[in-house]
Amino acid sequence: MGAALSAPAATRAASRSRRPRSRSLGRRGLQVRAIQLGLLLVLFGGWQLSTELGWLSPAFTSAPSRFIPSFWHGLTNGTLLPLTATTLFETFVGFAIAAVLGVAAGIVLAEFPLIDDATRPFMTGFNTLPRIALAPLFVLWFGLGSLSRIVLVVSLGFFIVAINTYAGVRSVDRDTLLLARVLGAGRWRRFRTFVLPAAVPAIFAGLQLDLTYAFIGAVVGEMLSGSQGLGGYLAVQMGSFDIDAFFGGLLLLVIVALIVSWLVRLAESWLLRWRVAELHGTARR
Amino acid sequence: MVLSVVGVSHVFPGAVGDLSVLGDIDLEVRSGEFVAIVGPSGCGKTTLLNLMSGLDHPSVGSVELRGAPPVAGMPDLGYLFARDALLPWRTVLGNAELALELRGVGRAERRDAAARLLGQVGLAGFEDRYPAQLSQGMRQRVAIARTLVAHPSVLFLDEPFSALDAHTKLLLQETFSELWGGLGSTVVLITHDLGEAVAMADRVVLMTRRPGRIKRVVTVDIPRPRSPMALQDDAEYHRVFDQLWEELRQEVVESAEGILPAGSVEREGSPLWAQH
Repeated sequence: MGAALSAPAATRAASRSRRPRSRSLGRRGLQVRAIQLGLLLVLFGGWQLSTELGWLSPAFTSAPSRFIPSFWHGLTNGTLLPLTATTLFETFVGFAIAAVLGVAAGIVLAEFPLIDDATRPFMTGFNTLPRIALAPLFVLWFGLGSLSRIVLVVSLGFFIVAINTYAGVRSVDRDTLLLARVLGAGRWRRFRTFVLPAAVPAIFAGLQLDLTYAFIGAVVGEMLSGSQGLGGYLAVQMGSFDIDAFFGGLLLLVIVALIVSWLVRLAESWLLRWRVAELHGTARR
Repeated sequence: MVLSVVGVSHVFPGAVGDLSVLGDIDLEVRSGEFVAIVGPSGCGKTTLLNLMSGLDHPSVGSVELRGAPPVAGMPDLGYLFARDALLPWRTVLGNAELALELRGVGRAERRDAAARLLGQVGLAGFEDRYPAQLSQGMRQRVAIARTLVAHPSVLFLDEPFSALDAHTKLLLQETFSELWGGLGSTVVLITHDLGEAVAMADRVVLMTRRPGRIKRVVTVDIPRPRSPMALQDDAEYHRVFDQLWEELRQEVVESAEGILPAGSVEREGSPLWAQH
């Protein structure tokens, strides 16, 4: 699963970075925003219209006119925010643990071929396990609280980050390694100054994916294990057939995910300033 | 002698059979001398440079740098390759100071030294750019600064100007010659460009096609400081060039046998033709 996921992640990172990213919205930035707003209006407008025309039944699919007030009500009366905090806590703690362990494992595997070869079947084996299906097992082991969800999140994210990190460390340019050698870099120097910076783009592609899966893991874990967090809220609303509240919860989930992913992108574009320079190259070609 | 190569042959073992790339090379390089090694593509000249610089070890024979086998990464050895190998995540200054940084030179001091050299290669004002923002010629200038900033006493140049267009190439040869004049380092230059070899070197070593042997060694008596650009109408330059060109041409034609269609290359004056 991880291997299949990591390739498109890298491609996506590459294509994203090819787009000019200007902080001050230029002409193109405005165009993008306008189109995005248009798409949102088409989606919600079409949804609303289909409901008005009777093509969709609000009992099954709700409607923007119904779930947006429900979403707003949940926000203002203070029920949704604590739930969001719980979900975000599980997401971030799980994401961070998976990121640290995954980066470390990816580096160790890439730098020590013996360990890589010896552990390969185990890595592949564990990565093939359907972690979501194991969620009840995690509840059995770690209880109904946040811990079981964090474990689930880590079990998903770890392999994604590890595989991307591994690929990044392994794909370091041969010229870069030759340079490290002729400059007399020792093993640690070679890694710190030449290999690791070259792997950062791939690691970030992995972290972006890790974050997505952390969210999914936390919410699904909550849905399966109780009434906590946004996932628990969704499960309860679904159980009581309150479709409007359910979609309101989904809307909040999407908004939170977008904000978090935007924050990661900000961090990425700062760390990868040199790549932005690559796109705006003045003299080259 | 700074560098001596004695009875060196080299073989690359392969699945289909061993490939013999160098045959019985003897070569000595004096301190402060600029030696250019020229030969047809695939003659093993890069392999010879790798052996001389400690990047590889000869199958037969010995290479000594000041009496001991060279080890790649020794602090007073400098390398310049065809590809600039600039680190894309470092600025121009960050790339230029790399060698000093690895040597543990303090930040202010190494930045000063790197900035000074960048000025000398004509890149003042570009310190904070990233490599991707530079032209190919500018990138190679950064590579030159990165190599020279550590004041290497022996420089190994592997076709450092070959990836550049004709004009940029001349400009960079000019820049390098100027800087080298002030350094006094020993230089071994590998190139397939005979004009470059004659314009820059004290001695030109001509190699045969694979397995490469030394075919001819010619001393270039052009006074220094030289300007590769001004040499384009120097009589001695053309004399040495013409003398070597005929022999190099033979090797190039021979090594192209079987690649080029029959009759496409003029074969007159090719004593080795009969062997095919």
